[in-house]
Amino acid sequence: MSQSGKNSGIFSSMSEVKLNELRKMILGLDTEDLRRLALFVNDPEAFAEEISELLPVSIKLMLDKDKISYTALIPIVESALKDSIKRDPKTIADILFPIMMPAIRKAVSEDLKKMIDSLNSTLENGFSPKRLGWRFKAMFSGMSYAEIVLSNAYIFRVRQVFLIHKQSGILLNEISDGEDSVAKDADMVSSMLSAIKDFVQDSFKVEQNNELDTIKVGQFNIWIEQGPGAILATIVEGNAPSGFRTILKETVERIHLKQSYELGHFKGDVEIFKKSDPYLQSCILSEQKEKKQKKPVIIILLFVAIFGFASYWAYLSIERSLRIDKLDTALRGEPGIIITDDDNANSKTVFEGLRDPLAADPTYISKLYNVDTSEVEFVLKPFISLEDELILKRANYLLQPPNSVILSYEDGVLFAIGESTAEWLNKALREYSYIYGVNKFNIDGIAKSGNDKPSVKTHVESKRPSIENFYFIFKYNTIELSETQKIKFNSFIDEVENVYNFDFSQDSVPVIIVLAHTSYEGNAIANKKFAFERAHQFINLMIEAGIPLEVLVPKTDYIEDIDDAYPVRSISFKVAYSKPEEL
Amino acid sequence: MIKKKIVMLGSFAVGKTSLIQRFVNSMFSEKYQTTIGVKIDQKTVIIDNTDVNLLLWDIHGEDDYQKVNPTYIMGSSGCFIVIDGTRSATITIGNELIETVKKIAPNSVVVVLINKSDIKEEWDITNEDIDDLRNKGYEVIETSAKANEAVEFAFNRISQLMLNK
Repeated sequence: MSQSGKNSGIFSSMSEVKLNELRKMILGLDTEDLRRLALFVNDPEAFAEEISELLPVSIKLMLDKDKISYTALIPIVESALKDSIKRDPKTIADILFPIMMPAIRKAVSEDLKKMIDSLNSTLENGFSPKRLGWRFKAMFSGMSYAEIVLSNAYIFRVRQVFLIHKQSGILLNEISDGEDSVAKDADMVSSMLSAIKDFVQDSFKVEQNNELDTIKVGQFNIWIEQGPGAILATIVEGNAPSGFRTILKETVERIHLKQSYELGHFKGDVEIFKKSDPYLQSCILSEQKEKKQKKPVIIILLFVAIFGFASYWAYLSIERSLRIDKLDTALRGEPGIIITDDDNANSKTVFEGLRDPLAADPTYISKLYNVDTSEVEFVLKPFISLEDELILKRANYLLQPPNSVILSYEDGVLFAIGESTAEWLNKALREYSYIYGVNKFNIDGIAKSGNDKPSVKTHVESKRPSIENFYFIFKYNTIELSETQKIKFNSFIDEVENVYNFDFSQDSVPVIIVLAHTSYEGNAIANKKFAFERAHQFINLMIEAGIPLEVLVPKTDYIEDIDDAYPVRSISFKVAYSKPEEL
Repeated sequence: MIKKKIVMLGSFAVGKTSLIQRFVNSMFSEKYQTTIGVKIDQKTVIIDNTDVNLLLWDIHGEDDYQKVNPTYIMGSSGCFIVIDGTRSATITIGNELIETVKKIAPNSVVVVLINKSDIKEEWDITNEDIDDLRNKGYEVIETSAKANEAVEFAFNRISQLMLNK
C-alpha cells in the first residue's frame, strides 16, 4: 500500500509534469501563466493594477499610430469634466486654482494698464479738433465714443522684431519696419536681452508668470513675450496699446505651433526660421501720429493780413457797388437824364448817355449818394428833354415869372396862376410858343386874379379917409411943425405911402391936395399968402419923406364959417383921383 | 549661417575678457576691469567653408561670493573653462564649473584654456594637473591673450568641435 501509494504519488507527480508539458504544447501557457490569468479573472483589482501599467503606453501608441486622435478624446474629457464639476465643483476649482489665479491677476492687471494708458492718452489729447472729429465719427459710425478714442489714442511704431532662441539667446530671425534698424547688431542685442531676462528672472526671484515683459531704453520700449522655446522681442517707438501684447502672444503661439520641433532641436542653423517672417511681419504695426507742427506764425499772420485785406477790399467793393447802383438808379429816374451805358474803367464807373442842360447836375446827385467824383465819370451829351418837369423848368427859365405867378404844365399846356403885371403877361404871351413842348398858354388863372384886383379909384377911395382925417394946426405966424406934430406927420406919411403902394397905370394917378386954411381976419391977402407958404413948406416935408412932387398939390382956403370942419391956421388934405392935367 | 553660443567661464581675473578682446578686437589691455554680470561679443569664423557666427558670453568670474548664474550657460554649444596658470586654485573652480556645465548644458563642448602662457615660468600648476584634465577627456589649450598665443586657434578649435558634434 505504501509502495503503491508512493508509486501513485510519483505517478501523480510525473503526470502533473507531463500534463504541464502537454498544456504548454497545446496552449503555449504553463501553470504559472494560467495561475496569473486565473488571478486576473478572479481578482479585478489585481487585473486593474496590471492594466494600469499598460494603458498609458497603449494610449500613447494608439495616438502615435493615429489609431485614435486627440479630437476623439475631446468629448470624453469634456464629459468627464462636466460630470466632475456637476458632482463636486470644488475639486476642479482646487486643481485649477494655481493656474487660474495668476492668469486672472495678469488679465486684470493688463486691463487696468490698458485703461490707464487709454485714460492718459485721452487726457493728453484733450479737447482738440481731432477729438471733436472723433465725436462726429462716433455719431455717424455707430461706434461708441470710447471705442473711437481707444482706437485712436495710441501712437506708436514697431521698429524691429526679434525672434530669439530662449535657451541660448541666439537670434533666430529678425525683421524691421523697413527703415534703419534701431538695433545695429541684432545678434548681440538678442543675446543681451536674453541675458538681461535671465538676470532679472534669477535676481528677483519673480514668479514664473511674471516674467520680464518690458524694458525701456530712451524713447524705445522693448516688449518681450516669452514662449517655451523662443522669445519675441519688439522694439517699439512710443506707447503701444495694451492690445499689442495680445498680438505678441498670438505670434509666439503661432511660431511655436509651426516650428516647435525646430525650436526644440535647434543646433545653430537659423535659416529654417525664415519661415517665421510672416508672423514677425504681423507685429510691425504703427499708428501715425498727427505731428504737432510748429504753428507757422508768419504764414498765419500773412494769411490773416491777406484775408483782412481781401475782406476789406470786398467790403469796399460791395459798398461802392451798392452806392454806384443807387446812383445809377437815381440817375435813371432823374428827369432830363438818360443813361445808355455804365461801365467800369480805370477804377471809375463811366456813365454814358444824354442830359438836358436844365436837368439836375449829375455831380450834385453823386454827392447825395456819397459817391466821390473820383469814382465816377459822366459822358453825357446834351439834348432837350420833353419830360413834363423839364418843360416846366424850361418855361420858368425862359419866362422868368414874378414871385406872385406860379407856372404848371400838363399835356402840352402851360398854366399860369397868380398876380402878374400886364407887362410880364404880355411878354409871356409873346414868348411861350418858343418853349419846346408847350402848345398852349393858359392864363385864366392870371386873368381871374386881375379881375379881383381893386381898381385905382377903389383903391384910392379906400385909402382916402385915412389921409383926409389928418390935419395939422399951426400957431400964429409959424409954418414949422411942432415936435408932437412931427410924430403925427410920420404916421401921415405911412398912410400916404399905402396909397401909392399900388400898381397905377400912368394915366390914373391919385393926387393929394395939401389945403392950407386961413381967415379973412386982418389982411386977408397976406393971410392967404402966408397960408400958401405953409402948404409949400408942408409939401417940402412930404417930398423929403419920399412922396413924389408930382402927386402933391398946394392950395389955400378961407374959413368963412365958424362951423367949418377945419380951424384957422391949419392944413388938411384931400385925395383926388384924376389925370394930372385935369388937376 | 550657423550661430553658436560660447560661454567663457572661470575664476576671476583668469583672462576671460582679455581672451575675447584679443580674439574679437585683436586688442589687449594690462588694465584689469572686472566683468559685472555678462558681456556679449560676437565674431564670425569660417569653419569648413561654413560661416559660423560665434556669440561670446563673457561671464563674470566666479569666486566665493559670486556664483555664475546657471541660466547664462543654458543653450550654449561651447564652453571655455579658463584657468590661470599662475594660480592653481583656479583649477578647482574650473573643475566645479565643468560640473555645472555638464548639468545645465550637457551637449556643450568643453575646452579648457590654461591662460597666461607668456609667463609660464610663473605657473604653479603642474603638468600632472593638465594631464589630469586631459585624462578626463577635455581638450586643453595653453593660451596667452597678452602674447596672442593660440587664442585664435582655441576659438577655431572649439568651433570645429561644436560643428562636428
